[in-house]
Amino acid sequence: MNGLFRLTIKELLSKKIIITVFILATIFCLTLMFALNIRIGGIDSKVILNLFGNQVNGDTNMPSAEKILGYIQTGIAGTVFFISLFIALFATSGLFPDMLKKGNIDLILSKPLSRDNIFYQRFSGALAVVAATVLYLIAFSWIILSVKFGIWNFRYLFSGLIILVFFFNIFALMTLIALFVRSGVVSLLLTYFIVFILAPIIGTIAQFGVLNDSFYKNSVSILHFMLPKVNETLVLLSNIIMSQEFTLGSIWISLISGVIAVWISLVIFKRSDF
Amino acid sequence: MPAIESIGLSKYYPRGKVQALSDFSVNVEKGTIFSLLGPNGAGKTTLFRLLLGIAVPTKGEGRILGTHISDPKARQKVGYLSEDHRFPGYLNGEQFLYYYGKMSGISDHDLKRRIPDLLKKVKLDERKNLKLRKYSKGMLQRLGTAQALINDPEIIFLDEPTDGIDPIGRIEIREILLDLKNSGKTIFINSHLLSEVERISDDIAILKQGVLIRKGKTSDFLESTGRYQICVEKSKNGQVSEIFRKFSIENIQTAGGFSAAISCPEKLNEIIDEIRKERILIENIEQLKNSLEDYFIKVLK
Repeated sequence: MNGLFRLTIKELLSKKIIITVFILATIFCLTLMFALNIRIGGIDSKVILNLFGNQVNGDTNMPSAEKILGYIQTGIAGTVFFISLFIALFATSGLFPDMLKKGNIDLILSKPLSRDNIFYQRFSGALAVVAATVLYLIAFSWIILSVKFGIWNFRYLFSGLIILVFFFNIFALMTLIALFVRSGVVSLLLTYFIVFILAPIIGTIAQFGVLNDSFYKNSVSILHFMLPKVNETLVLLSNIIMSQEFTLGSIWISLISGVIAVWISLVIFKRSDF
Repeated sequence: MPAIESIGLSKYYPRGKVQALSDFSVNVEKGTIFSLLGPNGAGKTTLFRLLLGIAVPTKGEGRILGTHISDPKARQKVGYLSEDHRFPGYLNGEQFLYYYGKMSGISDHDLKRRIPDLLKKVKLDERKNLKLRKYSKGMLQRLGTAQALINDPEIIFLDEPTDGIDPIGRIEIREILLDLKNSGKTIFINSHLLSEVERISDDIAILKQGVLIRKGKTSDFLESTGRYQICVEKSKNGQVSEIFRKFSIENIQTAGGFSAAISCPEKLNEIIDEIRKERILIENIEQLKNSLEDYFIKVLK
């Protein structure tokens, strides 16, 4: 009965964009493996980085090996975060609108599957592909960097989970929008609008307390609480990887917001006529 | 237990302003071919969608093999070919049957056996590796028919099954449907092709503006016109005209022979006796009936 889950994976892989990300991730990791050379030595354990045989860093005021590793891993995690935000979201934007098109949804609904089951199979199929891509890149680069530096930073692996929770949140939001607008492009643009324009504006208003009316003030606070927070998630990623103090508050909120968006989407999907 | 029960099924859109289907009640018996007829917008596809759980009824209820239509298990033994199907172009024919078979809960073992058989049945076995985006409309229709049979269903819902298929393909689809009926399957068809429906259906229902206006056996719809077509050797047409005059039978001479208003079989036999007495060769005699198309147009007017 997991035909739709498997079909969703097949559909995403057929779009080639995910395969391209896999190939690029592999090339990147292989480049790290063969081209990056690290020497740690001397009295103060000075780190010398060589890329394709050229020394990258100067000799003065060098940070520790842990710090350099942290910077590299933060850079990779940030890149993976934006890959999930742009490429993965773009690749998955058409999944629900395409499924809801007349002639496609009729056939799926005529199968002995409950609507909950249809929704979850479609949703989890998309999550599975993105999770595989993100975890592959993070895990592969973690192994290579750990071997090269001789430092096994397990917090970097944890950053992969943070990225996935954030993706879950925005994908759930996009799915909810897609159920209303039934267009991949429009739902993607509206999601970007909410994440990159609306959420920062609401965040700024909430932070500076420019509203006096208690109703608007509370509404803005609730919205600020619920909306995806790109900046805070990036800071969280960096703090986790760099072993700095952090709280998981923003990621718990992402998780709760995502679950609420999934629940509302499911209610709408179950009540819709096609 | 009927294969399909519809008890006062109704659907209104939006907020009760448009009546897509009103109080539709019908039972479809197992092992029969039941056809739904009606002009565009009559509610035929709406009925399919309600029965298959694609849309939710405003009123009434339905059962498939005794299971309420709101229960997904009702569709366990159902196959469906939709009218405007949109099959994934990135799959090939074999993969398409595999994934949609999995959605029906069929095991890999059974699919391995059924897919080649079905592809052969719809004559697509040589195109099984071709991507669906390269299939013609007729090929997609045949593949859709194979998909509707992938779970070896008890009931098959077919929305315009011969749409886009050439005459030879139509004959092949008709043969498949008759085979299925003979193997005890129930077939529920929605079609505009009245001649096709007339040939294969056991029962017919006619819908107009969401309301059921007629239902019955196909033979009930094919009424006698009270006329016979009599064809004799051409050189003797004059003599036959004389015989009709003698019996005071109104007749018209057409390319196919004489179309004569003969009230009963006894009268027909008397005329035949008279023609044979004159040693005139009778080439053909046929009772003229209203076609389903004639009846359909009359009813809808």
